[in-house]
Amino acid sequence: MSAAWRIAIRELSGGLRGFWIYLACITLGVAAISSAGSVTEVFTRGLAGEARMLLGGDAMFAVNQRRLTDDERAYAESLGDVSEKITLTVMGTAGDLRRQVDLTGIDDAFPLVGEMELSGDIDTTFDQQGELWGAAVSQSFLDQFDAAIGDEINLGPVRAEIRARLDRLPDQIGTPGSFGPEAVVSIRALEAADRLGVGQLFRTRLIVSANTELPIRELREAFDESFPEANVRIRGPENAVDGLQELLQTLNDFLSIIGIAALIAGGIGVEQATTSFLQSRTSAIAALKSLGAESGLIRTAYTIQLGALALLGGALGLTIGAAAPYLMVSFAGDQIALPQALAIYPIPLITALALGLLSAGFFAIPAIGRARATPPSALFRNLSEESGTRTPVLERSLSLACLTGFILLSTLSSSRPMITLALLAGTAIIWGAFLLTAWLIKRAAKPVADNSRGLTRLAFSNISGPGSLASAIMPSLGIGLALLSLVVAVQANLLRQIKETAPSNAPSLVFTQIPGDRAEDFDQLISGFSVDIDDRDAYRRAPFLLVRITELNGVPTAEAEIADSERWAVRGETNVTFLGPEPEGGETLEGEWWAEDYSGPLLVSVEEGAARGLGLSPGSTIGLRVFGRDLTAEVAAIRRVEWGTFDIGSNTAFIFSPGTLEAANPSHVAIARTEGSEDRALIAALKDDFAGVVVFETRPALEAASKIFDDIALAVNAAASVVTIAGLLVLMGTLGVMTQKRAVEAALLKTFGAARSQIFQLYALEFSIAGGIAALLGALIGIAAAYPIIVSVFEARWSIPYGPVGVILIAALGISVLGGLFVARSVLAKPAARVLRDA
Amino acid sequence: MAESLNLHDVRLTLPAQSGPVEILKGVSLKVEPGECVAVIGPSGSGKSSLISIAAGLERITSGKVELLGTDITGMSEDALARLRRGRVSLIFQSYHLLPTMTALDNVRVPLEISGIEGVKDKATKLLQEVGLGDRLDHYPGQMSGGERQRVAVARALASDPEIVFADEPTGNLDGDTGAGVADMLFDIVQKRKTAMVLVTHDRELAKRADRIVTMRNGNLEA
Repeated sequence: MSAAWRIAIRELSGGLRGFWIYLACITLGVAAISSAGSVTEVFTRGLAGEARMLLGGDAMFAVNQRRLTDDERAYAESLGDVSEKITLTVMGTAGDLRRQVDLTGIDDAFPLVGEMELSGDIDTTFDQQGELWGAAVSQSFLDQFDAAIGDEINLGPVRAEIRARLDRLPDQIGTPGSFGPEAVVSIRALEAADRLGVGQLFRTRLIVSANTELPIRELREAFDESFPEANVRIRGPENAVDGLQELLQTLNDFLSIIGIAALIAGGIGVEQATTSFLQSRTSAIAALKSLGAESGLIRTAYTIQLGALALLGGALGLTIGAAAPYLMVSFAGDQIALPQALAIYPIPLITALALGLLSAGFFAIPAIGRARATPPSALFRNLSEESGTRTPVLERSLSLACLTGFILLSTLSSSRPMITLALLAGTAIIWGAFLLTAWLIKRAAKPVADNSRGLTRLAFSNISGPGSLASAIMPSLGIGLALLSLVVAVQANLLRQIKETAPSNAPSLVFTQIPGDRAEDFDQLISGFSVDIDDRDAYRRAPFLLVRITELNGVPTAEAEIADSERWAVRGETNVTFLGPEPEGGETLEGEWWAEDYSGPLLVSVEEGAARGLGLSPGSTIGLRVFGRDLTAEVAAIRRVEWGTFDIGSNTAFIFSPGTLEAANPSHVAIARTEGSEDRALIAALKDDFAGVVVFETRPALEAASKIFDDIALAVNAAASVVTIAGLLVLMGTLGVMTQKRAVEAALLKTFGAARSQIFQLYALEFSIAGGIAALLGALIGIAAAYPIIVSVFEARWSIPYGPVGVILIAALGISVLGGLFVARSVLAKPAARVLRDA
Repeated sequence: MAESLNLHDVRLTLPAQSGPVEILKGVSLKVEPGECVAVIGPSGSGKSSLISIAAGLERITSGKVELLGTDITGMSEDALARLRRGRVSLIFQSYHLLPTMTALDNVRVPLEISGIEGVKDKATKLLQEVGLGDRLDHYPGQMSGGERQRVAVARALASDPEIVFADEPTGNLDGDTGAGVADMLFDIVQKRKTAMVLVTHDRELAKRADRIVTMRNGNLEA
């Protein structure tokens, strides 16, 4: 065994004293990253394992507002067995109760994969008996309609009898009806009720089971070639659940970034513990060198020790990361509806360990370099920290190599490398800002110290002098508090939006599928329920129709350059309206609105953000398909739209001129603000003349959204706290180091005649200055970063959340003062005589 | 006039792993105002402990300690601190300067704690007196051992204390540097008629005191 290993093992066998913070910082960061990766993997694999089941087969042909034509269906049937499923929203009625219901129509072949679980016999549940069709409904349906098996109900135009409780649909995540009442009937019932005509709102899914993997891309190309006008989307099992994979990846990226930020914030703790440890070994290193040990031997011996400890910390973090999915399932498994493939996945664990080791290398190697390069004579001279040796080139290069590796690995392992890189750069800039502030504080403290007296002078001298607390705790605590303030500021603003702004601006009732030719009758009916239809703050109505944007300036949307943020406009169908007079809200920025009685070629007004993202300006053209007809509209105006106001129609991205679209006689959407007391009577009154009108009650939805948001806010806060914990760990490490350093100082002050209370005040002042400024700057950076997120990403109104940020500031200041008092208490515990004798 | 220091049958027993250790075994010593007493003796004989209890840094097990005419035997830590303010100073073998403060600040802070006015001029003058007029803004880490000890001497004498306790003030310095610091210390102490208890191994240094006492195995021999 080499001398370096022998030295390392001998020193390590002495225990881990002074290394708890080092271990904790690495463990925390690795645990956060590996937990995020493991949990995501468990869900991703779970989804992949169930993908065919969730899709319902091997390919899905999806289309809106129509069913597949015979030729299209024949094409699908040539691939394997097929089953058709139609989903729509209708108003359910049971007795006096009317509520919105998610209705699914199935054929006899459903399901092709898996089993549907019902409380009744599947063969007879959906039959027509007399005038009544059979229906299976979710438990939430039974609860909300106060209904029972055997009851007669109306599901939109379908008269039905509840024959079974619907317990599970094989192609659905979670229990049916989790988001509202749900019912299943036969497609024949919908056909019989004439609810599947062209232009009516419903979604068709034709599932193909080929019992083999289908080449989805080739299939899509071949289908599009055979049916170029069809506008049918084809999906395979890999995209079984729309957007879920993306959501999981976003979650993983978010949590990983938090872990990376924790590693960076905790890195200061690693650096501090390493420096402190190596300083405590100064005489040992000097003795070894004087006995002939080369600097390489010193470097190897301490690299082995610190590397072994980093591995230990990483291993602890990995254990937590590997256990995280199991812990999550055992504590909250019932509440997570996603399929899970519980196992230990090595890739996220290895990635997290590598990131932990690279961060330890970046922060610890320079200290090892300084220790091994210091000449024995200097080591014996008890150099002050800042007059010590510079980090040698080799260690500086190695440290930089670790940093490069850290950046590369964290970027390449992310599903959104550019965002991760930008966040890393942001963290580095914030870190730099804190280092700069620490330097400025040190500079500013000097003249303050010069102009102060006694212990105040000492407090400021300690901040301005060598080994200042400012450079030790500002970056770590500051980054943690900046992130926490950012999260809190975003949450507080969104919460205010959901709890205060939205309820005051939002309508209480939303009516959809109002027949266009009877819209005015509808107004009259509404006006009988204390809704002043002429009051624009109480009632608004506008025509809406789903169109597909096919071309932008003559270029097919698939080939056009479109900003990611505006892709929603061309991804599928989008809701548009048409208006004669220019609406009151917002303003026309470019071009001109058409005359009120305009009836010429189709014109369109586009919202400014959408116009920018789609590359449109006045004079541009938009190609669109409406009910199978291709139309071209010229952009007449670019408008600024005020979102979030009580409005409908004018706050739509695309507003067309009347005339052409009017001819399609689209259904209308209306919004109303009611007192609430007559809502039930109003909804019931629609039963006879407007049975097809679907009413959405926003009050319970906003309450539910508020509750969901509260839960998410709690989870996000908990995750972001990891970085703050890293900052606090560093603070604890600093307290440990400070306790050692300040013991002599406090003993001396006692000999000068300083009372205990004065020494308590000294350290409370010193820590509150450093901690207070770190907290203040952290909060400012967090709030500054939250502003564009609220205003640009969420497009919500901004206000500074004084309350929550104030709490963070006070807590941070309180913890800093307590830290100072802790140091004072620790250093005063030992008799001055003994401290001075041992020093 | 009361003695600057009066130790009467002082005993000090400290706990240790192998059982209580008797450090001082009934020591009595009087130091008159302006008198310089050197305490010599072998290592571990209890010299430094004698200074600790005399300055009120350590509590005695039995006996009585009168410092500057005040019985400090049962006094609280804060009361002792107040008594020391501006009247009692210590000089240590390891200098014990405040590492975050410049030479000037190291001298100023004890004066300010004592509530003395005009400390900057006083501290500057004293540092000039000890030959460090050009090192006022230097931190301890930027100074040699001899320079640090001279700062410590200046700090100890800046408040014109009535008594100075010096524990091996030249112990960490080479011969010439040590002699220089000792000359300076005796010069100032004698000029100001300050009482001093000087603990040293150096017999030549001890001879410069008014009186020498020898500490042996926890007992004081005249």
